Amino acid sequence: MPPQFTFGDIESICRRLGLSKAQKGSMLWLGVGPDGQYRQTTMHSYGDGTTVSPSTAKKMAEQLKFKDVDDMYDFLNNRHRKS
Amino acid sequence: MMKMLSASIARDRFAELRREALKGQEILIEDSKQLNSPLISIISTELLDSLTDSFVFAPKWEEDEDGSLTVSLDEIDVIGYGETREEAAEVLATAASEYTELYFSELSFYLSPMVNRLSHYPYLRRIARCSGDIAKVKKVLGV
Repeated sequence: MPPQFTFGDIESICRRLGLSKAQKGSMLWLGVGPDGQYRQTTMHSYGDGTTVSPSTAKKMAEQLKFKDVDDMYDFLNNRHRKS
Repeated sequence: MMKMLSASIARDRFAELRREALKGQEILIEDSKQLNSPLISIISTELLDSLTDSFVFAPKWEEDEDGSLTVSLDEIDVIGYGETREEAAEVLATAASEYTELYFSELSFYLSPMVNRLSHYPYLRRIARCSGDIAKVKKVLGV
């Protein structure tokens, strides 16, 4: 079973990667991470505790330049990782 | 052969050059004060619209077991999602519109070697021509 993420998890991942909202009220999150890579994703949040659907999580992992959702889950749980 | 003029001559003859551009002629303008400076073009907007129309979006839809949908545009690295097809399309079009606005307001950043998103330009130009009308954006995106 693939790992599950909430929108709060994705927001936390985005912040650690140096992403922020493009502007107030925006659903576009973007920024340049500690590794110098530009990333962007769409965060139309349904509430921090809401689960992100598997297909959306897969696409977000691609946009955030993780190998896959497992890699993104590892990043979420490993505070020592920079990217 | 394309017509090439210095910026100062082009300024003096702009009305004539505009008429030629409207007929489909592309006019190249050089900076006579700077050797080997990059050229700019005067070209018909209608012609440019036709040229960029060939940059067609291919939205990819994925449906989960609960019926929720994710749609992505690899051409411009934008995704949308929602509980219905309409909601996902709306989120996608809004995000694409936001990205377009940002892209054209920070072109030097998006075209820099670090970010290197030149390939997004013709696609985003098509969205920019919708002037923020989400219904038109959805039509251009094919969602």
